[in-house]
Amino acid sequence: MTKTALFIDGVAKVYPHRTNPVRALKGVSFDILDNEFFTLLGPSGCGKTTLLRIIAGFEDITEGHVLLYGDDISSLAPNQRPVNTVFQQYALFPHLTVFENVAFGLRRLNRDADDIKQRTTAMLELIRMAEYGDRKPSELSGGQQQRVALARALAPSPKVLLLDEPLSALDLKLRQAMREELKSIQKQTGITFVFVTHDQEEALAMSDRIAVMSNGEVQQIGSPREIYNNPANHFVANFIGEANILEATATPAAGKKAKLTFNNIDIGTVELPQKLDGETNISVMVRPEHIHLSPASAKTKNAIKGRVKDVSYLGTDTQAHIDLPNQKEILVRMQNNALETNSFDVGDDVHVTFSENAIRLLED
Amino acid sequence: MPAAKPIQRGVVTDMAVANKKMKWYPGFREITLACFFILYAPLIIVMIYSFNASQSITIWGGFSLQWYEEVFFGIEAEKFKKATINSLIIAIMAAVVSTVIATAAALAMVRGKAFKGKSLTFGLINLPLMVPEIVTAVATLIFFSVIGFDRGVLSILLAHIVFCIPFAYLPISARLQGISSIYEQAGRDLYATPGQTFLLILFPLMVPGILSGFLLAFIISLDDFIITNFVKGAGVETLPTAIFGAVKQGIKPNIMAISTLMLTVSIVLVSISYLISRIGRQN
Repeated sequence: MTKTALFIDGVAKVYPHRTNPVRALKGVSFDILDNEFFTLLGPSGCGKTTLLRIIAGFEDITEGHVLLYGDDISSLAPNQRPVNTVFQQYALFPHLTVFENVAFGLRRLNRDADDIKQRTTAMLELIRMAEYGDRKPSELSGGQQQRVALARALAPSPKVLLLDEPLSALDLKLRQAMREELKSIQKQTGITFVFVTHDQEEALAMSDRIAVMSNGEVQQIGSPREIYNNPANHFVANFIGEANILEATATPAAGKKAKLTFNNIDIGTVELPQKLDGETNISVMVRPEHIHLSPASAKTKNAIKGRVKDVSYLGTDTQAHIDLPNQKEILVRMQNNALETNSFDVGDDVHVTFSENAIRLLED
Repeated sequence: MPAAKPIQRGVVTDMAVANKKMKWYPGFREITLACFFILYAPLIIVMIYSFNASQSITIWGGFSLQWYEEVFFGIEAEKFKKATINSLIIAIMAAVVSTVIATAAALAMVRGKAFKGKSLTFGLINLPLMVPEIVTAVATLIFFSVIGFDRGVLSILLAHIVFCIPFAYLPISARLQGISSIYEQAGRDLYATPGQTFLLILFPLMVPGILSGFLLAFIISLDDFIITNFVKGAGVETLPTAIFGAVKQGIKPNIMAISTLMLTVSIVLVSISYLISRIGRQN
């Protein structure tokens, strides 16, 4: 069994206000495992940063507890908690050199001078900036400042490292390089990372597990694959990647199975959580890349008829919106191939098909 | 229009563009020059005539340093020396004490939690800037008489500390507002106690503001006449009151020499204050 590093136990946070107090967190509970790269993912205002600041000790808790390897740290001051933070704006001390920035936490912990020197040098080597120790933060590029902030937070060997959207200020190329670097540093150091981001691609690429948050609640927790392939609800389906949500009609079949029809076209048979009593409407999700388009002239079984509304060529992919007869539209993403078989034009009549394995059920 | 030159990005260009736009207003240059003339012509004349060889304050009689010699070695030298020492002692002590108080006030106002009457407190801190100085002077004099406080260097010092606080407060609180609280959070996160966070992080970042607050308070104290004149005891003089006393018996060129010396000190200190705050901004 893997140990639990952090246990978030019914944490609620209310910002008081005379007329409308803000409930930033509505009692969330989950655990983060030892040596895990755990991501809190959600749109701005979902409560992810509030939760991170609660773990760091910058915000007090309205209700609930935070347990670090079994110890309740909820009432400790930030300097008493063995966790460190990489801040979004880096927050490197501008009056101190890079070396002194990285050594700051070790000095406060009263480590002996040799130890501080050795550990700080090792950290600067880890981020490949050993020669930059005498520089001031203002003399570094954004990416270098980011790495120093990381080294500074890692130097005291925290039990958990908190990262508050640390890549959001970097440009795209640097951001992608830093993803790799962060992930490999996490593996090298074996420290539990709690990473906050609103960027779903970043979350999918780096995390062992992701907690998707919205409205102060956790919507789903799982590996990137689970969250993308089996989103629990509408919010997760739409927030992670792109999703087509279809209102299908389910008719009872053998056992808990149900036959699904959409626009009176049979789209497949799925297993439901419980047996259906009669005909019901349910929403299902199909990812754009799991949908196949064929010309209207082709003989296709159980195809939904549609007309191409727009086509965007995206290099590796082509993306198209298809108008369906019932005023709805559906998004399709096709990988481009050497034969250019995906060349559809606006106004073309097409057949839309997908395998029943591509259908995902959503809770309301 | 001449062909556009390649544009340098940044502040310099913005200011250059702004300056160019300013010149488009008719009369802008003339009004500016008139303002500068009225402000600085009297000062320049005083500076020039302090080197006058003649007794007259209007007729140029050649270059001489005799008035400076008289300031330092003449009959009145002893009086001015005493007044200068008083002024410097008072200005240094008033600047130190008011800077400490202003720093504490700025920390409470900018970093402290919201408290009842915060905006009232802010108003009270800055009120002395708006109250006519003569009113403060009379009130302070009455206050000292009522409580039976002996008038002398100490009464001047107390009055100076009080009116220097808002002047020291302004640059300090401006600087503090410009320091993101994220640095203090990072300090706390890296195991610094609240006291260490202040000493190791916030205070060093505040130093430029504190220094310019100190210098401003020093100049304001050194320069004060009205309040000092009311609360000083008989026989105690600061430099401004001594100069005023001397001028009452007629303007002699040695006053111009003293004024020029004071002006030089002020210019040097204000320049230092400006340079410090510029270095602070660059960090």
